[in-house]
Amino acid sequence: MLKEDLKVWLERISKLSLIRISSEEEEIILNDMKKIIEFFNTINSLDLSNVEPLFMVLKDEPVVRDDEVGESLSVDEVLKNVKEVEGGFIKGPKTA
Amino acid sequence: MIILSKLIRKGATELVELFKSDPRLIEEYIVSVYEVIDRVEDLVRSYITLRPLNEVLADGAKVRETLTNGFKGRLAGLLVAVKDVIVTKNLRTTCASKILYDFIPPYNATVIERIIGEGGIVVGKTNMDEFAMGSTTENSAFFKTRNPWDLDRVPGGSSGGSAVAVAAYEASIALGSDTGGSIRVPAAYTGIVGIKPTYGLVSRYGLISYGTSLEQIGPMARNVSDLALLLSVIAGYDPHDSTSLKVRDLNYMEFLKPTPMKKYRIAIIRECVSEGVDNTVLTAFNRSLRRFEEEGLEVLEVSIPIIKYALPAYYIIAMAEASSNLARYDGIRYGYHVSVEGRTWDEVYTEVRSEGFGLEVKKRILLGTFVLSAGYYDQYYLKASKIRKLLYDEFMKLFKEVDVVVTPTTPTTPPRFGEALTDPLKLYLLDTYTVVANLTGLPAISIPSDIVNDVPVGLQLIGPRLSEGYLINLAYIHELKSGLKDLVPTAVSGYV
Repeated sequence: MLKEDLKVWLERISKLSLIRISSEEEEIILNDMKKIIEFFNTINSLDLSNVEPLFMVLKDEPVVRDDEVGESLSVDEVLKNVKEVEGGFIKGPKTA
Repeated sequence: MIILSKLIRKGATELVELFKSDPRLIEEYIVSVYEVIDRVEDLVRSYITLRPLNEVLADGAKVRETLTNGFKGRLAGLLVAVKDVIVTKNLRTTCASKILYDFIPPYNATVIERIIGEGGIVVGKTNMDEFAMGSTTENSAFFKTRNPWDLDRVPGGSSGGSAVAVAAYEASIALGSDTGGSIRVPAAYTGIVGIKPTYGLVSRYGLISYGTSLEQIGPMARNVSDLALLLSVIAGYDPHDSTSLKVRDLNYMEFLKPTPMKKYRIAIIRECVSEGVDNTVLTAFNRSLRRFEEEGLEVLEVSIPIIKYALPAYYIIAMAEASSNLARYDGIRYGYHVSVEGRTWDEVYTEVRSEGFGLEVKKRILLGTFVLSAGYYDQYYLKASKIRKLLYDEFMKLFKEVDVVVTPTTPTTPPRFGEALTDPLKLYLLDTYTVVANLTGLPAISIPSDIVNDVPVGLQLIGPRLSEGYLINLAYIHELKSGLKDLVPTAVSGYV
């Protein structure tokens, strides 16, 4: 159950997601969201207070490799897809 | 009317043997596959990026030379189609998204390294639902892929391009990825075989992430032997993937036996055959069960009531993971870009993401952000993860009593274009039987069960952890008894 109005909700979530919703998209999204959230709410009828959650099916903890220098990509290869490069650095927006 | 080489109808396993005895045949094979592509690709549109024939012939010539020098590559000379969610060095990889429309990866996924290492040749990158989010391949940012059995129907998704490339003889074998059914659904809809391996069996290094805890790369093929061949190559430990299982030297060809390798006990789940299933699907399903019974295998019915909550739990978890995984698309390091001049970080990110992502992807990121947000986490994400635990425990318990669970792969035959998109829940329902294997990490294969009214229907077999060999054995037996292998869909039946 939503604790807020659907339109206010969408504004808040789209701000959190850094996704702007155009006016054409808004109606479709609101309509679909309502249906999907109702569908999600079907799990609310279950009482699961005594159940442990399962986030990952692996029995063992994921392993990390030894901290040894291996082969890696060259700087040129890494920068190949960057659109704005300055002096070998990736250019980002100014930090206020 | 052109006469195609006889090689076009041969399976991958057979071709590899032919190439070993006569490496010169590789060129004839490549040319004939491109002749099929020339004729059918405009109708079905499997490929986002197809490599030019001369480049592929040059690769073929190199393989021919190594074979002449005694190379024994298990895929030597074969053309492999690759879903555009798997990165390929210097070959554009888009995820069927505008946000990655010009991305040229600087490295190969582990599965690609292994395929090339065995002499396989990547022929092109196949269409899919954007970021693998969809079950029909209608959500591609570029174009829709059509089902070669009926051009008015969807091929299933999200690995629809890979399924169609294989089904329409535009490649011998293919790679797909499966987060909630994305290999098995299109395999069922196009009359081929596809497997979602045990979680951790195949390296995810170089697979562009959507639902990290759910997804696996897997093979798609026109027959069970070819699937076993490709799975043997891609399965096994990879230090580049921290979730990779420490299993090595797997050879699934040993399970291609015409009789049961053990006295399999087969379970059907009451909840999966009672409501919401098409009659045509159910008839095909029952016919498949009889084939197993004729082999002397026992079929029993069980009930798993929690299974009706699997679909909402799956979508909550998948969307939560998506919202986190897709946070990386900032437009600064790669992909769709807007100038950083005069904009703040938030403005750049927001502009890139709003313009670069399609509608279905946006919906899933928004909902994923929501189910993880303060005040809603316990109600949705945590609760879904508890359902996952109950489901997992139920299947572990069940597999102490039985060896395999069978269900129809999908509740219906392939929808016509637009049918599943009218309502988001209609689209999600296509994954009703497949998501269980992703939530539990178990292996599941889809094989042709029947052809009804000229469209294929799929059968799904789910097994215990790392039981791929036995699933392949059962799939092979079913294939022998049903004769459903190397099927030729209507779109290419005039010349293949």
